Amino acid sequence: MALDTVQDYIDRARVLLLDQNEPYRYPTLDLVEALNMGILEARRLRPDLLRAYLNTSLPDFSTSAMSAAVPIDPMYRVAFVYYICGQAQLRDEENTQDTRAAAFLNKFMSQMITIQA
Amino acid sequence: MANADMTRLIDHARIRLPGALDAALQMELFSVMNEFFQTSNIWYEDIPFDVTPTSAVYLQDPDAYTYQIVPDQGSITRLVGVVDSKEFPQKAFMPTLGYVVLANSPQNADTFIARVFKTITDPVTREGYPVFPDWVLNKYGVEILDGLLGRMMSQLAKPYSSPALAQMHLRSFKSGISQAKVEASHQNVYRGQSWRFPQTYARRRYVQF
Repeated sequence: MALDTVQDYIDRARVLLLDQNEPYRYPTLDLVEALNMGILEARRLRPDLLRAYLNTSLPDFSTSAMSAAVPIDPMYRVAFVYYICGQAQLRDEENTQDTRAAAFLNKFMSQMITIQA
Repeated sequence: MANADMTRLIDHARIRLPGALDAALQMELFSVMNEFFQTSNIWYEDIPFDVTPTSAVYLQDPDAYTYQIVPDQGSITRLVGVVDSKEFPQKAFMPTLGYVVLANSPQNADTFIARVFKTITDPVTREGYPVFPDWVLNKYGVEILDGLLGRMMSQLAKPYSSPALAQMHLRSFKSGISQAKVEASHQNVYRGQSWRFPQTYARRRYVQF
């Protein structure tokens, strides 16, 4: 999976979330919103990732255009999958899910700014 | 398509800067090349321009003494000198880059030549690399790579951030610029220096480019 489109990101996130069968536990709308929030976080952490948008508004994805391309360098695409998963699992109340959410979000963060992740 | 030297330079940078984006490399390369050319003065161009005599007083009509010159590539950083069609030096200034102001009105219509130092400018190539003569990268590729690595490593909170290595590379880059400046002033002649006739015997003052 090349992680080119919004659909690719959501499909990959559902694998890690164990949520591949309908009806979904995590609505597609929520996961797409998580991707949008990931873009905002990336703009803060790595402005160079979104250089084409430094003087314009950031891309904003919606469920009506799931085949839209996500303009992220291939080196950093996996990090966004982790961010979507982390955001999705933040809303779970179980203690185990909190740890998992934190692990995903930390992985996103460390992949953005360090080489060891 | 980028030439082999440019491809080699960017490949070196990609390998030594894990996680670096090509767009960031191109942006920093522009700054590196700009500093390299502005400081070393190794890129120059002789630009001819037509002049006409005037009886106007400069303060009343400065335009009568002002001539616009446009380089073939790049942008002008400073004026080296102006000579007339017989290669006699003419006193001139460039208070605004790109506009030569003659100190005295020419005696008759003529074509003067201005030598200017240049640096890179927009537009860049289709691939996003700055445009400059190929021989520069061929000769000073290592020094330019040092500048690129130094500037990239000095960025904050990136996978490739390294203040210590940045300092080391930027020191090498500065040293490379100095070397390039000296070699350019010697016109790339080994153990050479620009020769001048003993000034005791000089009857006319020639422009020392």
